[in-house]
Amino acid sequence: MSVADILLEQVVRLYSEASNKRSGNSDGFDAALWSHAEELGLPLAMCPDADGGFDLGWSEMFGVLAHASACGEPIPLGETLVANALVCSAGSVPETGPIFFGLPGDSEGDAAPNSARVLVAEGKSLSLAPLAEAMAGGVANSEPGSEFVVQAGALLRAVQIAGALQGALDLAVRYTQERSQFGRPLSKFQAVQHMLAQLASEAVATAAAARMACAKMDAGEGKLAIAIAKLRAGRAVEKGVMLAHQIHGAMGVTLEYPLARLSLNMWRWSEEFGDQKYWAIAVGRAGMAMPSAWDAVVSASDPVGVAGYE
Amino acid sequence: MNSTENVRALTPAALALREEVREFLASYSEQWTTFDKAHSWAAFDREFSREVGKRGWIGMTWQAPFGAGRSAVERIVLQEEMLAAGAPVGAHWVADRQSGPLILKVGTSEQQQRYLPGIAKGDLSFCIGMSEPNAGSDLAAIEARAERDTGGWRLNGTKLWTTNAHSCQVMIGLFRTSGPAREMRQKGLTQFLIELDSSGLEIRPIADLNGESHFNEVVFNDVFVPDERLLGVEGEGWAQVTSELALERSGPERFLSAFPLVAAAAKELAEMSSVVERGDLATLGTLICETAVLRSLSLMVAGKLERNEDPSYLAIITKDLGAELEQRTAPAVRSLFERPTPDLKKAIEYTVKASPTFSLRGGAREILRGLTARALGVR
Repeated sequence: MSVADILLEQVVRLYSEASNKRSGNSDGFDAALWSHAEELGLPLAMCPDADGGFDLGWSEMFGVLAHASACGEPIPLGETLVANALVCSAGSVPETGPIFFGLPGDSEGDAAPNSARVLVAEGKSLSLAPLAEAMAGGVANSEPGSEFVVQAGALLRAVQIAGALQGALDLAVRYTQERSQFGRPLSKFQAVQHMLAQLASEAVATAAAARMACAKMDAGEGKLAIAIAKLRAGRAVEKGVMLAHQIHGAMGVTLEYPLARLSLNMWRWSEEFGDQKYWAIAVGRAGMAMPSAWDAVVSASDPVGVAGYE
Repeated sequence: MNSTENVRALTPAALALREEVREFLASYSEQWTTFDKAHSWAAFDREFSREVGKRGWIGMTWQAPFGAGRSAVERIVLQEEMLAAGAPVGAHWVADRQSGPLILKVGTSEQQQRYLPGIAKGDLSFCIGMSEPNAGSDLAAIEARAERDTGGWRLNGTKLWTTNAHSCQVMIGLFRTSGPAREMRQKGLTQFLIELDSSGLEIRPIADLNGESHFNEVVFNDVFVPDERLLGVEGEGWAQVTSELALERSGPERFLSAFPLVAAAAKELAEMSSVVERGDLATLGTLICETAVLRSLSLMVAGKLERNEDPSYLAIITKDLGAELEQRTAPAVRSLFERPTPDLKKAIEYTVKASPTFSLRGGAREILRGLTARALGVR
């Protein structure tokens, strides 16, 4: 088993225990889960060994990032991992607390420890500001001057959307098996089955796009693949969230039910670090700059080897 | 979501093959209009298929003596280059994809000797005899019968929607060898290799929306088939057909059928003197995006096949999403131009009229979604 696989196993266990302990409305910050994550050394996993990290790449972290998101991202794990990786690659020393890409909501901010920071971009430089001082918001709310930050943010959102869609699908499958109307479980209605199949297709396609972009990013050639992954993820949100809610009936819109947090996250993430229009134009431009549109397809989707998995 | 999918780079052999194929296709692409290219794998061109065969590119994954034993991924690289270029691959497509592999898997050595070399040369074309007037999506309802006769079988019934039957030499047909359809369903079915010059066999063309006749109705009137043309095991037709359909559903032709339009449109936009509007760039970008993602998925399917894992969940989703993309392509490309060139306009119109079949052939959309639902555990 690789380090990444062991870490994923731990994360699955931790998140499942945390979810059993949380009750009701889950729009806050799970402080207990955060301290467990810190004990595991999770926040620095994508930093080099020298900085106390595990030096794991995007492909290796795909499973962890997607799973945490499928659970509703009860702590800003993805944002912390990527922020620390960015800080380390800029030659600075990472911090220990949770890091947000934007100002958290009130209940989330109140529950976060004092060590919480917001990743702030000024021009090309990045800094970690305490919540009270980050009035202008973080990288997710501004136009970061560095293309690399946009790419890292967009890739994180694509991976997280893939995870959230899988989370929504898992909820939908379970709900249709438990809920009966007209004397039979919803899952036995063909119209419902076909909605589930469409939701699954969106989740699978987004995961494929995000995985490809992770591998390309690790290989240092992420630009086009990330544009494609974020665009595909945003399109999947447009279709997938509506399908998940249609399948759930009114249950899905109650804030208490876990789909609510997944949907709110997905809508926000599809807007951040370039929305569908932004990336569609970028991909179109890239396609026209190449000798043929096929070259764009091939260069964005030719598999690249991932270290540690041969 | 295990962490080990899609993690191997294309081999140097696959990359070298891609260059070879591109060089080969470059010599043709100027002869082909966009309208020609839009026909893609529906276009039947014997001479082209023979040229492909000469290079060892038909049945390339088969083991010697019939093929070169090359990898499944290399074959995909070959196929996708052919499709992206709009090459007329229809004369060898079906035999290379499913008939040949099926004969290799369940055929007798006499059958393999008789058919595989001709397929690999591009001389022999196969068609698929599954659907019937009363059995489309519900394939287990087929009624065409095979009855024992001295030294062989007598076939009666009708096969429908048989693509290119009029240009093919052999059909692999599914027939009922015991019991009535209503009781036996998937049981009692047997596949036969039927040579299409047999007496008692009539092929009637069916004109489609484009006024072309790729489809046929094939009527069997006491057609005699000798014992040695029974393919595989008597009564095992259903299992054999299912494995054939898996091959029919997972390839790059399931999302690239309309791609030549995208390539032509991008080229025309690039050649225009005016600045391309943002909305048009976005339309083009979205088509490229969807195609690239489906290509990733299809390569994941190939990876699973190589590792002997069941790829059907991913394959079915690839085909379902692929048909959706193919059907969206022609209207999207049309929206990019006020006045497309006459050739592109003709190609768009052709694709519009061909597109209803994209979500029917190889399994209707509703059947695929049912299969996905089954994989999710709700059926």
